[in-house]
Amino acid sequence: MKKMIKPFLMLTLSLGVFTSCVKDDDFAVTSFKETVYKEVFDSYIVNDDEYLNFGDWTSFVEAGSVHWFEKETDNNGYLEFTSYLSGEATNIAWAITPKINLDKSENEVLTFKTSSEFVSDPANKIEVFISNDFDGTNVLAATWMPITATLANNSTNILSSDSNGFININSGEIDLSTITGDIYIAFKGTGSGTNITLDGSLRLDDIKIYDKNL
Amino acid sequence: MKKLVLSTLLVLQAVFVFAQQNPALKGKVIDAKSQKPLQNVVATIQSTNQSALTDFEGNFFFQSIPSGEQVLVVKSSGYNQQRFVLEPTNGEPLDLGVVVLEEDITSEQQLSLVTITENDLGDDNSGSESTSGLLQATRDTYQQAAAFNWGLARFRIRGLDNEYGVTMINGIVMNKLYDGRPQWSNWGGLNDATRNQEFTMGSAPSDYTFGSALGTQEINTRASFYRPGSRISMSGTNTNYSWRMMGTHASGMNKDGWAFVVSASRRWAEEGYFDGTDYGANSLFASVEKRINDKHSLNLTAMYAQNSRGKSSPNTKEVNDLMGIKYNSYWGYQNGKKRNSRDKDVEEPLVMLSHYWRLSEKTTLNTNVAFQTGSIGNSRLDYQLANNPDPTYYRNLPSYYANQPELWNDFVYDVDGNQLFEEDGVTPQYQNLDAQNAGNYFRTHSQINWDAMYFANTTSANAGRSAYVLYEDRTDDNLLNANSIINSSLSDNITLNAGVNFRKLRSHNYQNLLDLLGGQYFLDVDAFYTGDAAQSDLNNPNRQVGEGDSYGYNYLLHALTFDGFTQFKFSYDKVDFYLAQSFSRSEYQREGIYRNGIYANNSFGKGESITFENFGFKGGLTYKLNGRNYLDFNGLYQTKAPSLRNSFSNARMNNVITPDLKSESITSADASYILRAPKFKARLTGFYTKIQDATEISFFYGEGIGSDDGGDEDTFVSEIVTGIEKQNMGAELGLEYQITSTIKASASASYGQYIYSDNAKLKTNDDALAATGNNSLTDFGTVYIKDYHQPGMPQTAASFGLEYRDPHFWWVGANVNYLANSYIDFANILRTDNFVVDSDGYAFAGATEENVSSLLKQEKFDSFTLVNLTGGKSWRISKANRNTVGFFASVNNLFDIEYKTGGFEQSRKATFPDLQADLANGTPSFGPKYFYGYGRTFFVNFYINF
Repeated sequence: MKKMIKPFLMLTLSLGVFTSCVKDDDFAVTSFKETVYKEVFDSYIVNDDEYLNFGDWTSFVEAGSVHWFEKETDNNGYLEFTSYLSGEATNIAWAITPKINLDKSENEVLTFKTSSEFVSDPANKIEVFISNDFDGTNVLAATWMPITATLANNSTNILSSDSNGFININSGEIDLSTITGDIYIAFKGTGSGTNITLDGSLRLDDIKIYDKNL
Repeated sequence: MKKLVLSTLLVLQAVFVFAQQNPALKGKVIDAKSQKPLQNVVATIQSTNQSALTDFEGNFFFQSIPSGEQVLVVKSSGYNQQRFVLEPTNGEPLDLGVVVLEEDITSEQQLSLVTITENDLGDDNSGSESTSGLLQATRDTYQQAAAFNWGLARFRIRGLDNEYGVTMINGIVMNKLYDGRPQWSNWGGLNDATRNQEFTMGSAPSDYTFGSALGTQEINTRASFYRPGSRISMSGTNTNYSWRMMGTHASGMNKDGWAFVVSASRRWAEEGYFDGTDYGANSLFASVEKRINDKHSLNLTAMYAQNSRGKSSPNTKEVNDLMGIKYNSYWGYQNGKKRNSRDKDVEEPLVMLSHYWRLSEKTTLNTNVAFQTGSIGNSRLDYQLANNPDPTYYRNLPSYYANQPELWNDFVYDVDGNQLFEEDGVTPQYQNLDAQNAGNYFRTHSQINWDAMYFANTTSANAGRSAYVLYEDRTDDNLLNANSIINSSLSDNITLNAGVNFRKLRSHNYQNLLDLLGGQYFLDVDAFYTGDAAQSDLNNPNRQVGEGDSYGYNYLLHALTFDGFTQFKFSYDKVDFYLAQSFSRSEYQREGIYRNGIYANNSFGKGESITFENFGFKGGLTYKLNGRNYLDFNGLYQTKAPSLRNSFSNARMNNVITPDLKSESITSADASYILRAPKFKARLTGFYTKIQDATEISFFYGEGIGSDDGGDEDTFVSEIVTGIEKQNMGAELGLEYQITSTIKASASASYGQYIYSDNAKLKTNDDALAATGNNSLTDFGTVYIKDYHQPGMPQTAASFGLEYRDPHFWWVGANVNYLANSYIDFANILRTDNFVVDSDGYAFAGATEENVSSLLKQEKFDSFTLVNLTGGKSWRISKANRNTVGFFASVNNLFDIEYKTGGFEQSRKATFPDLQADLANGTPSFGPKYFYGYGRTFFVNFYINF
């Protein structure tokens, strides 16, 4: 009897070793290009015609009472700034991304899209800034460095036949590779509700920060 | 007359005895209980395949036996077999004396086996049912544990689907051409009549077929092979049915060479274990044999097994939490009675004519012709321009509201609807009143509302036109099956088996209207589409259909297959080995009866036919260390034609052949150590199977795959996964130790790793795309499934049992079973690039490797332990004969353990942001659906043998 048990155990043991290899956490996953940050304002998440209160975004009104708005047209969600009919001489509003960390990535570039409609003067504009000392609430207390990008303006107005959801101006790749730590990106809209040359619509969509070399 | 018969028999007997003078080996076999001699018991010397039958007085004789250590096996159906290790010395005759055969108690236990129906989710007429049917009546400790103890938990031997086994009746293959699986219901309830069975495990050789990687089961219905006598039994249980009655009579061969067997049974339940699952099954069996002369016998077998049962729904966790695990959404009250909307009806009678021809002492030829006809129907509700009648439709459930962020608030109201504040002494909580209301409403409206459908139909805007109907997906098959099997002892050491098998199938598939539910007619259009696309049949557009009419889809599948095999078995003192090869040819074709409006050009008439030619080789050897210790090896390589089901990717609509369709290839090997000592039996096997180029087609109602329109319109999508590679390896162990003459211990274990060993390719077919003039096929590229586990079965199982068998014919047993490593059936479409890659080529927002992996991780079900008890007793009621009465009783899952037997992810939220949004608050609207095993169940069977 005892004689049998030994080879049995040996066999069982060797088979056991032979068979155990795939763990529950080992399984194939498609390889894909991760983004450091991406916001496309999915149509089913944004609520049309609502003040920007999306996720961890910050909406701040510097002058007047007009916020950036969440908009949806033809299944595309985006943000819009317009001082049209605000009745206020100066409208300045900021849309600021959630905190974005650049420590775990390399070769980062920022891209986004803007569009303009009924914009007739360069003073009716979007400006883009980056900050690494914004505390999440006090916008004007932070240091905001301007960013150079291709932006929609009075010369890029979309046609009246285009959908309002047509966001057509690519920012181009803005190099962020020298920046580390936590940053915020701010989109600042400026216009007027009393000066009809400054009451166009400026729109923003598809913000993306990614590793350029991926 | 009687005297004459008797004296003739006696004279013959005398002659027979005379002929057996001075045999080299003899013995006498008697029944342990009655002490009467047993006739027609088979004694076989294993190394030579020499065998002898016992005569009228239970005696068997061998004129010669080879020298050296030999193993003699004495067996008869319904009895435990006996083995003797012999060491004949040259010339000395051996007399074994009296061999006592004890009745096989597991044959009673077999009756308690419940056929587990697999996922009722199939949107087609797949016969998928559990493998335990394949395992009945085997001798092997391990296989018995697999059948009796693990079968209920959907354990599969070696992790292989039934389609890798071959189930035969008289050598006629019963696996359906449609999906490769046997339809057990075709002989359900005929346990007594199908008791003569032979099994092989893995790729070990069978005398009847080449087989595949799982094993073979051969049911023999030759009338003279049944033990003469009658048997009546009555059973009660609380599993899928409540009651069963069965009666069987076998005549034995009379002097004119006639033998017959008849059997009938009925099983029924108003409600089985799960809510609303009714059951009704009637089975009839007859077999008549005429021995024409010494060389020729003819046998006619007829089987009629009709089965109708209500199915039970798989449910999401949300629904189970609200309603409990016995909840079934498929039924509703109608006139005070529970009516199930999802019935499965099977009625496929079979007749078979068999010819047995002894060409010589050493060669037999068995030819069978079988014809099977009948229908399988799976019923379901259909509706047009009306609300989904499913009570668990996602808009009826709390999660639908809970997943709408804007509905959440922290208001609290009193019973009159006045808002309460903190100063009123309440703590406002973040809550969703709509979700709560939906939950309350669902609890009281959790079943199908038949009355509402009747009301809608009778008050229809278009007078008489039903908005709701009950229909069945119907398959009417005509199958002609013929085979011929030769078995020849070419020499003392060499046996040849060879066979050919021919099958011709005409399978009519259609949607059959069962009940207009109060309306006058139903309009045969697909309301999802407009214009031609809405027409199921352009040749007869806008048909008004009534009960019994076909509509929706209607087509024939034709299949013509031929296969043949040869096998040589060599037996020597120290080693047995075999070699076998097979060839098969399969030809499939679809023929549309309707000209579908979406596929006007390739839906009507005969489509292209496809042909597959396949072959296989296998071999193996048994090395006999001595009469007690054996080593056994088997190896197999074969290619296998895809099933009919997987050959036409959109069979309901058109003649298109599945893109990238290929034959599967199967490589399999196993090695065993076998010990057969008088008190200790053991088997340890290591196995490995690789299946390559497998194809799986599944059908589901999907939401515009890959788009996030959030829409509600369902479209019937077929998902085509090709190039699937599966790898099954593991070890199995069976031990049996006779502690005392009355107490026996047994232990079995199976440890396997059944995975997808490579990624595959995925395409979908979407009719909605074709309807708008686009290509209906979408290529999703690679589906990343490498190292995912094959779903729906415990990959680890262990069992320990003790059995006490009293000499006074009663016995009790108990066993404890541990089952683990069972995984969910994952949604393939979520494992494609489409899940994570956005239209810009970059991942969706928030998709990191970490959280994509965590979303896609395959759910592993909790392990569980089941305790079962069995027992029985039998009494002799007459000294003069073998008449006995007895009972068998068992309790399964004694501690009422709740366990999942399987489940599947839904494919509806097919992109990362969609799935994440659905999971955001913890109660997804499209979460996985689960199947649960039975809680505590019992089975009692009373029987009389006379």
